[in-house]
Amino acid sequence: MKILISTVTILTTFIFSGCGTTASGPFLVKQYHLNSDKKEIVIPMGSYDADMSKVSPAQNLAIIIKKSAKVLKEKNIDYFTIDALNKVPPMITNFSDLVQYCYPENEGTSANSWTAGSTSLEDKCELKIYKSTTNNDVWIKVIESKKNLQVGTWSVQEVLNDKTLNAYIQSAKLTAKNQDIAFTNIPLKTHVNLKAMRDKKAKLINDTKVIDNLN
Amino acid sequence: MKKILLSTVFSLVSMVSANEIQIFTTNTMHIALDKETKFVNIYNGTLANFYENSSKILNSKEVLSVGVNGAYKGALNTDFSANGQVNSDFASAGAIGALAGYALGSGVKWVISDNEYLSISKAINTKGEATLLQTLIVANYSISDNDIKTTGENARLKLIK
Repeated sequence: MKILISTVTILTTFIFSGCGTTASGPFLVKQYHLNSDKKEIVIPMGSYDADMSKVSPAQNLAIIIKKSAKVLKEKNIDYFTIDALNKVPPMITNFSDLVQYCYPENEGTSANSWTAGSTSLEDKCELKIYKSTTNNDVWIKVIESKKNLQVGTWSVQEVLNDKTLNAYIQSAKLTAKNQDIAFTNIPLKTHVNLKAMRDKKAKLINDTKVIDNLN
Repeated sequence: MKKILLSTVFSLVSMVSANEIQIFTTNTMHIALDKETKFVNIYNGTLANFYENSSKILNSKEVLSVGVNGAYKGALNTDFSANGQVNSDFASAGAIGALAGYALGSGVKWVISDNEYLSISKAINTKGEATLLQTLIVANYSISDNDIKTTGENARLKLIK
């Protein structure tokens, strides 16, 4: 009987523990670059900073895709595709599907889930987290397209109206602002480089504005 | 007490091994589907087999025959040159546009798990507009061609408004 109870306990612990997945580091949107000649819109992720660890990869995905859609709309482009190198099948043409396909085992469907898009799940779509070392790192690339019968495309208008995607962005805004408050509360220490700290805060505020401007 | 514990163990084990399935559908022409929409089955099979034969499948007579009023003719003409090749914009961008999306080259390989399937049907609404509904099915178990077809049919019905 003791063995049976122990077995049940161990099984229960194992199943509901989530196998101890650890969230990956954060990254914030810094800038994007439009190369109209090649019809590619390249969106570098900005610098990776382990001290600002609140915006999840899935939330970033929402921010970047919406930013892409806004840029495309300004250019009167109605449809786009996600770069094939990211290994996203062409049957995935909306944000909700993208999150569920790329992050099937985590809480990818929850807008405020920090764990969405962490650990091995990035491997499925190769949505890698890069540390920017040359300022040329590209995390995601969207490409101007035209809708066609044979292959699926993302609709700019559908992205802009996507409630799921907007929920992720709202959640990101909250976490980014909370992080801003948390940052200002960091106690000063004698060895702290004040200039670096001011620069860091300025960058954080700028990043938060970028997120604010999306809505 | 023993029975309760044993049933708990079995239910927990069954939770772990439960069949799971993910379904993703794209409507290539982004058109509205009404209740009178007509469907034609194009493909039901594994994703791997589709990628190997995508050119043949997507250029089949069933796919390329125009709708009632030829509504998607323009889309084909826009994206393909006269000889049916992908236009240079798509090719140069390395995009997944048109058939380039399935012509694996330059070391690009789609991530295909063992149990990934595809159901494709052509849909023509009452306006005569045509589209392809491509339903990607990701399962943690093997499913039959008939189940693929049924899953695809159920998925496309959800798109009708």
